[in-house]
Amino acid sequence: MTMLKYTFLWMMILVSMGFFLVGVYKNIVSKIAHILWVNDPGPTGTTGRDTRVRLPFASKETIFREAIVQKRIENRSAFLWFRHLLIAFGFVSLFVVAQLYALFIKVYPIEYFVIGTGRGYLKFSLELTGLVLFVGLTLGLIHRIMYAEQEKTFVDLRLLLLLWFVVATGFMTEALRFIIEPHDAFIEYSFVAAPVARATAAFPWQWHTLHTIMWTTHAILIAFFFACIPFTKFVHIFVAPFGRSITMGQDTSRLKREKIAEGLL
Amino acid sequence: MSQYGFYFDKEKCVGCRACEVACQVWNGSNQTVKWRNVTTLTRGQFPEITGVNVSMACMHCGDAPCKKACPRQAISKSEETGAVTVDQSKCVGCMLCLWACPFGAPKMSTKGRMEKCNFCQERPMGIKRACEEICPTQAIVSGLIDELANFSKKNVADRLSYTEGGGVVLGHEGT
Repeated sequence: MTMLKYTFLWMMILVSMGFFLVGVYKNIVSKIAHILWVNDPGPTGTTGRDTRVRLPFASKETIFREAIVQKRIENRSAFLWFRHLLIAFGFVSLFVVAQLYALFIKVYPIEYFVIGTGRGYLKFSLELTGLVLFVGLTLGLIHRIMYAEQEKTFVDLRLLLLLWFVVATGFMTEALRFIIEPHDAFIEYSFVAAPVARATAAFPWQWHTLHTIMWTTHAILIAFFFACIPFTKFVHIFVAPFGRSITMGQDTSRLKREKIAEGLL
Repeated sequence: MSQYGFYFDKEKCVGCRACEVACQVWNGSNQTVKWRNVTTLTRGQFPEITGVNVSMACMHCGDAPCKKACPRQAISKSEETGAVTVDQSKCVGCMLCLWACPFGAPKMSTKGRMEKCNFCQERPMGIKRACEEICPTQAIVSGLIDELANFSKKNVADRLSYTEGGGVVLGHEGT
């Protein structure tokens, strides 16, 4: 059964990565290549009007302000900024910890992470980052539903729900696993899934079947989510920090206008 | 496809910024940042001083680089007028369009999405755009690009008394 599950998982990952890479090429790489070509001033001494600006490389302060702290969102609304930070940092750190978990436990097993305390720390980190993401997404959903009229233009409810279900099914899969494996050596590191498991274990349900269904649902949703990233508004995960840093929070606009004016002087 | 655009005459512009105001007044309901900007540039020291005022908005380029740069296909070009506009429901505010635009026209709005001149899309074609209508020196002229190119050539010819050169409408070079 385990072999079958992981074969299914890897097939899903391959299909998802295929869509993801096609999307990244089509909607990110080719776009940036086009921009670089448009902005290339060409060799010195070429004829014709050169109105293009050689952009200075974004400063550390700009990258920190635009990509890390996302101050532009804070300018719009402190609550929006707060929940976006929860989602952004929750998502990125959950992704990183999940990769470390797969790397040290499945791909290149290291004893400290397979049977040692390291595994407990990784599980704790997974739950913590998952919870941060879940809280941010739930706040976003509540805000989207309460202020539907104002928000519906900008927030795609379906995408928010997709990510919310990815995280929710992740927690539920882990809780169901604790019900069918109540003596897991690392259960004490779980502060979300373990209490849920303890609270529901008494019900006379088919926990093994439910776990398989939930695990499969979680795997499909994750694969679908990653395939969606470059084709939906999720693409901002990659392009927004990059584009906002490189354009230096709109200073580029002024520099380009001044370059044109200088040409007309 | 018809292609409309702007012609700007730097010799006539006095930098009064009436075009900026008219643009904001006409497009007030859609606009949270300035779509048209007057850049005033001076060089040298008195009395050897030279300067220029340039009123600039989106040039609605024939082959708009911002449209090709958008990862969400949020920027489209009207078949009817050639106006390049942003669909804010698709935009994610990544600012790649600003990076691509040679004129720095797209701006980040206070809503976190890009905004730019929409060629006064609520005005019927055939009447002047808001910035053009208000300009006290007729430095801004809108119209079909072919007509503007001829208009520009004629202006250059009248001023310099020869008929070659000139006639370039920014964003539509080679038209």
